[in-house]
Amino acid sequence: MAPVKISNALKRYGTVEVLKGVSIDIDEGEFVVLVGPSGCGKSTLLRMVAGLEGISGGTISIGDRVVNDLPPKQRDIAMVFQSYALYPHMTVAENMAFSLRMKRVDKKTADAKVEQAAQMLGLGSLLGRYPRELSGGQRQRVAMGRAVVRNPAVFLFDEPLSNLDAKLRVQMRAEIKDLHQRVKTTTIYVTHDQVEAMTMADTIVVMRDGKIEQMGTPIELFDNPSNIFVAQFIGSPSMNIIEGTLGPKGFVTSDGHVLPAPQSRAVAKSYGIRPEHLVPDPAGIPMEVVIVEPMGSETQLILRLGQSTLTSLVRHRLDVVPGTVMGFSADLSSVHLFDQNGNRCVD
Amino acid sequence: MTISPDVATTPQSFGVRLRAMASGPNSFAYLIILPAIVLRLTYSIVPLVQTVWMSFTNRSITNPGQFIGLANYEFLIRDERLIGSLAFTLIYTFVSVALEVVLGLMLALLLMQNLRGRWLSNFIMLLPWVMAPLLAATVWKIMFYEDGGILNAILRDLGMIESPIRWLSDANTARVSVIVVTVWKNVSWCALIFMAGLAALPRELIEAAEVDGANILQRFWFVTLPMLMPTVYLIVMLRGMAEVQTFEQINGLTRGGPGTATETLAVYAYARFFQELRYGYGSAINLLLLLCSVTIGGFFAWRLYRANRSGL
Repeated sequence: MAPVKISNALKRYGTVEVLKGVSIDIDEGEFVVLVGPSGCGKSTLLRMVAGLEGISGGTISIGDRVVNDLPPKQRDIAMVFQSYALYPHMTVAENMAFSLRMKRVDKKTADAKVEQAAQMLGLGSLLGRYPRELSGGQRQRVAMGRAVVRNPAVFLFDEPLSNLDAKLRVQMRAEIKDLHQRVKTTTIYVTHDQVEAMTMADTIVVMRDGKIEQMGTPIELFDNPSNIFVAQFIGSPSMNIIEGTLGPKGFVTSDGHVLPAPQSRAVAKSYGIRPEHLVPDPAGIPMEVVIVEPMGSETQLILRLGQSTLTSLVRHRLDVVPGTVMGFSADLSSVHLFDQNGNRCVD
Repeated sequence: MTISPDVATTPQSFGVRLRAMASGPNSFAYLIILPAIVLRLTYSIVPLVQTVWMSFTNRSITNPGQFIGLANYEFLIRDERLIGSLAFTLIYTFVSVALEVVLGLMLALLLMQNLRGRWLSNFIMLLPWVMAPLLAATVWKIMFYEDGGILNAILRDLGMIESPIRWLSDANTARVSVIVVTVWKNVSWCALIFMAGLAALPRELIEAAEVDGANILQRFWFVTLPMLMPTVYLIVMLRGMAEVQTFEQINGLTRGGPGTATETLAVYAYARFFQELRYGYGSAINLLLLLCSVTIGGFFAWRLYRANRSGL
């Protein structure tokens, strides 16, 4: 394992700049998740670290070496691709041993390493099978095994769970995290799924339009999003944002409703409240229930307040029908205020 | 709800199924494709049956033909000229297809690079393929002229030869020459199909191999080539079937000569059938040609089917 240092990394395709000076310091053994919407540059950045894309500017270092001009094979990395990229004409064992074969590791040692990785990932009985004979989850595990067997300095994961169904995704998420806890290899993981980012990362890097919007631990990003984009990207369901103005009596929405808000010297133009912090309260602000979405142990409500549509996530079952008018309130400490540029208001 | 197994499992006679087709919802569709089916059967099955029948007769221009059993086939085995043309056909097919595959793949790999003027090179590359075989043969025949041919002139000017090479009048060089023309003509088609195959390969597999530490040759040998095998089988199947039946090019270049040095089965069958007008024996040779073609086609179609089933 090795630290990774990305300094002011730039990527241009002709005149189009897809990465606009990204800097990230990744400690040895850290699990960093790059998250953002499609086209934000997260996969491009990962591919630049892998050496599959050239670097237009800045530097990328793995360990104490600047790797800008090194081919992938000299970077001591292993990568798991979205489509798994298993060689279809090779068995599981051959797939896993391929990198060792390229390194001219003797067969006995290679077999032992493959066996060890297979045991770790529960692939022991599948070593003689071809990728077409495996389920999606098994293919995913083989792709991880192929990475593990090399014992690289850095693991790179490019949206590895995107092709799996929801249930398997949860299972594989736990397996990847478990694998990281056991091997402690520095990991850079790309996803567009904020739940994956929240549950797996030591550090989350939220990207948009080739730039970093915010970087920090999952809880930091959840509790103190630096702007509306991060606030809405992190957390599910996403944060409610209401336009208006902060006044002495509270936050006045654009259609005249007054919401309780902490006092701030900054000029707040947007009011943010997470759905789970908007709770039913008979003494709260009356809102009309538009849609009720029972989810077993929780109930999600779509509410209308004047022209605004809000979401409330109630942590218990709620027997309510659409059209009901109910009171809702929020703790002041859970309210987020943003200025006219969408940045967090700081007193 | 009850399900009657009888309905699903009782085998229906051909007549019943035919009536069902005629009265079913797709009856109009069957009706409009009927002429095509009839024509297809008329122009493929009927001549085949006729050829098979003629191969058991001694029919010729002067003889309406009597049934002679396997006599034509017995003669096939003893016909040294046929054995020679069969041997040359197989060697010609093997060497031509092998060269077309190897050179076509190399050309495709080259043309898949983002080189300047790629559209122009693709266009020029395809010219031989679109040229009529007889025209290609004529052009090359002119180039192969011992005196005044451009090939000998170039070699002489370069000081590489003192006396002209007998491109088409020496048995060994004629064999090489006809193969060169065939490869020249068809290599661009092979390259085109390989380019389609290469473009369809998942880029992530090549990248995975790159990350796994494979150099460019190892990536080609261990990943690209195995993944490209269905394309190889397709090309070998189609080119193999075509080369084994080659007639126009050989006839245009050498007419099977000098002597019978470049005589393929198709050229020999033509000679027996249309020049000597021995329809019975000519039919037997044609069926041998068909057997060779079907064997090559069938074998590689089977390999292609297996490769596709294995997920390549």
